[in-house]
Amino acid sequence: MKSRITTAAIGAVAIAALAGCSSAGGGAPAGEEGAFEPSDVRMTVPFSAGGGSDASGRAIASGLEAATGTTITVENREGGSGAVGYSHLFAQEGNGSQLLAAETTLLSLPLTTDVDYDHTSFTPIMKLGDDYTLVVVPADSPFQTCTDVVDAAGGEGVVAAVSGAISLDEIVFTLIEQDQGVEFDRVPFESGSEVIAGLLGGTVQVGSLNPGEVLGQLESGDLRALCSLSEERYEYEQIADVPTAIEEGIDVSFAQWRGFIAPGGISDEARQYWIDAAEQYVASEEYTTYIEENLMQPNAVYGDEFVEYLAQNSADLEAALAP
Amino acid sequence: MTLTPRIARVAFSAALALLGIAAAIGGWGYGVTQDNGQVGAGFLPVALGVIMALLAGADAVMALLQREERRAVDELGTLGSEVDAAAIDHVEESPDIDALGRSQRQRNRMLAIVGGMLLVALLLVPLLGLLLSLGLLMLAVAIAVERRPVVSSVIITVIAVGAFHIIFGLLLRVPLPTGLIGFI
Amino acid sequence: MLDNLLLGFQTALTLENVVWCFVGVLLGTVIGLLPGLGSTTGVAILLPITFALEPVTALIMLAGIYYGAQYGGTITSVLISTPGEAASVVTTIDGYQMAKKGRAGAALAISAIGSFIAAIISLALLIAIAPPLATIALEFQPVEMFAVMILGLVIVVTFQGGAFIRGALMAVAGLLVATVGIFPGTGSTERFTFGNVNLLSGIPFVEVMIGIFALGEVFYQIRVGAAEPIKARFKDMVIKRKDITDSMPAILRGSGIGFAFGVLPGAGSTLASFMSYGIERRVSRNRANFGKGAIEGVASPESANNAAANANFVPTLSLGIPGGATTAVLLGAFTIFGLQPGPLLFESQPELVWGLLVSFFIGNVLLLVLNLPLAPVFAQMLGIPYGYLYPIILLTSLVGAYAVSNNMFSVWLVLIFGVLGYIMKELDLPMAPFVLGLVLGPLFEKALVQTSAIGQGDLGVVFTSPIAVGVLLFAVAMVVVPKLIGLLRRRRVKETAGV
Repeated sequence: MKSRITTAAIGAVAIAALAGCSSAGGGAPAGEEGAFEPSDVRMTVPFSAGGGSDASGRAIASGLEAATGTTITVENREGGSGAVGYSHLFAQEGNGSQLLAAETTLLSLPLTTDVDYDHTSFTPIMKLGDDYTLVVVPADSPFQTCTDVVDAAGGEGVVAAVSGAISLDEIVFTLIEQDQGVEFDRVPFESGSEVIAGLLGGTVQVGSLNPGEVLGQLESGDLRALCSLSEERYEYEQIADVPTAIEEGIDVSFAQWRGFIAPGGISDEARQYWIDAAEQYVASEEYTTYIEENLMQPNAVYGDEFVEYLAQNSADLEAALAP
Repeated sequence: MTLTPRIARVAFSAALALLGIAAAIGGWGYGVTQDNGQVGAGFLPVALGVIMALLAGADAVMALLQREERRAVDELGTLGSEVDAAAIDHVEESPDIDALGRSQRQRNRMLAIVGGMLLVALLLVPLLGLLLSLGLLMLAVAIAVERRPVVSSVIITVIAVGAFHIIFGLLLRVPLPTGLIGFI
Repeated sequence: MLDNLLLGFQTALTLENVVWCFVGVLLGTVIGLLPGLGSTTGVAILLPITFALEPVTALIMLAGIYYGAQYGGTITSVLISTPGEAASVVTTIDGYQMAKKGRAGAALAISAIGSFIAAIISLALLIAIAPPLATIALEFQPVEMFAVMILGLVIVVTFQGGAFIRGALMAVAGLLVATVGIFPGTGSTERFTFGNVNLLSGIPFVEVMIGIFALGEVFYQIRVGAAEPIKARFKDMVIKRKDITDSMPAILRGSGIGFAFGVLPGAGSTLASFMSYGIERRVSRNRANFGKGAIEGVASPESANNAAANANFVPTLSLGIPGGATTAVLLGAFTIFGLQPGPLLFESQPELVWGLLVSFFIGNVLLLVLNLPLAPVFAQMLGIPYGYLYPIILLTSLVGAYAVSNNMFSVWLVLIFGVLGYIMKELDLPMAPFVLGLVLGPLFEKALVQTSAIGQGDLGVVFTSPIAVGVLLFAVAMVVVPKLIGLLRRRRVKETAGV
């Protein structure tokens, strides 16, 4: 009981400080800041404990806890490739104390499966950052550049690993196909680590993986990165010398984003409250650590900007997924 | 009371056979192969549905012809365990009285009551919350069905619900539904 | 090599690490006792509390939770016929029968002893040949895994011996139930979901297990009626020397089989446990008693799943590819602690790797020390009249079901499968093949889809791989050889009778 009172006190101080900050920044009217008081905050993670979404959900939750002083309970509601978690949040319309650790499935599921919601059903708060992919091949592969891969795909054929039909790697291979007018043979896997095993064992010739997933094998020399499917080269030193596909004349870059959203129909005060908290989190060291450990791009956007980003990203996805 | 084990078994196998056929038909609709000739979404449902229908049909026929079947089995001497199982079934079917002096008919009713209470308890979850309605279920079963003393049943229930509230709710932070009452 | 072992012991045997290992084992056992919470969930849920520890200590504790939870699941399998995870489904068959005969103490003790011996064997193998093994494991690509899955199906179908048709029927039913949800080949075709988002990722086997085993048994016991509570003298509860010597071959075989399957990425402990049981049921000297409470029927799968759990660390540590669901979560923990999992881990973090490996050994010693005296105490719980016990089992299973994915849908699933489990018990239909079919189904279909993709529609590619052909021949042998031996024996009996 005592500890709860202390947290509440810290929370009050933090909120006061927060209000001070943002009014100094000149954004929202300071008077309304106190109008939203979160209670029993839940962060839904639409995937099982232990995965990438879980890690980002927990990182965001603890960052927001530090920023706001409220306790945030992380709940894993897995199932239906994320559909169960999103549907849960969809049913919480108007509740400003419910959050969800979102990523690209927010956009891809409504495009491919029969769910009741789409990205406009929610209130986007923050995009945490982007995660691009690297095109990787086994160490002894004859391919030296991504152009080699594309040429071979146009010639004798290339077997590519994809982890699911609406996964990021399926999308990037489709985009390469559309851009270069070639076709890949595909073998479906279910996770990045299975793809790595498939590459090491010689079942597939090429895969597209997040740097964070594959860094261990790159450093050991078992796998090689040919190009990164990002707009610019990575700044992380381990992969800074990997050229982008664009440099090689393949005009493809596609980001998987991570971030968090709130239910639709929440008050403007609640929305602003979480945006402010998210800005504080991004300024913290915890954020930098999370982004660097996962080799992500720290390009956070908030609120309306995030909404625009989602609309654009959804249109890109739709184009890639269209048969 | 005409539901003998044999009829029940035939009925269940027949139901499985129908289910298999339904799955195969549904699977056909999903496409046995994809456009590129690879295994499609309907491949396993169709294959398994057909196999299940065949196996279930065979089981139903065997159950119907059980007498002949058993003689044949004895000659081979391989299905000894099944004969044992059948023998055990017989013992259970006799209208025996259990250790607490309850007849088979009473126990069948108990099962129906527990099942009904379970259903009601789950339907009450949105109102009372998970722990409270399941706690009430536990109490009701102990007192009304098992005829345990009221006081000790209440104590055990309160301890169990309390322990679960602490373990799942507080320590593991499982968001147990609290219902409209919003108590625990 | 000895240097490494020494380094491992130096790391793992500090007071702090032993204490946290013990805490992990203890917490894991408690988690495993709760239905719905297995080792994967246990490790994931308790992950945050290890953040304050040193990485080595934290990983040692998490590994302790891992096998502690497995053992906790065994306890409920034996006592109330409710497996804590898929890997202990097989244990319920003979374990629960032993408990009914008042020998729960022996069953629990032999699984602790079996796990311990399996841990020693697999530790030795891990230390001696982990890196070359990892290379062999990589040979098992989708095509080879397809053959392994066929072998698995053969074992499941012929699992219950005698009543072949019923066993096969239940296995096929399990496989069919496993096809519910999104088709893995395209990721977009929804099968038998009837528009329910909860079914998109399929019918989860944990809920099915809780329903069929725990609830089904409760319903069945109510109808069968109260028996005299199992009254066993304390003396009977303690394991006898003969039990141990009898079980030794089963433990050794189980450890070997378990280790072999545990090395394959993704195949995991479930496959290991029922493969081992399936083989033991054919070769054991005591095979006639399998299914009726044979101690070998507990020793074999329990040592297999523990060996597999340890062997899971071969691909995890030496390739950076998780061997199973729980090691996947552990691998995630590595990243959180700022460690980069991958082939370089052995070189860059020798202290951590060898300390972790040695801690498996220490953890299993602790588990043994903890559970040998506790086994008879747990077994005494069966002295409680069932009328007191089952209301608590009802509460535990339903709350546990909710905790699996924080969803009321799981609770309803448990009820539905509880009714189904009851019917299966009444009709004397074997339940283990059903659950194993359900567990194996998605793995089988994945391998099928991948093989078909590799062969561009032609499943015949499976015959181009020597390993796959070898595995398939073994599967054929599993069916044919026992029949042949039986036939030969009978002929010999006839001949001697004729003379």
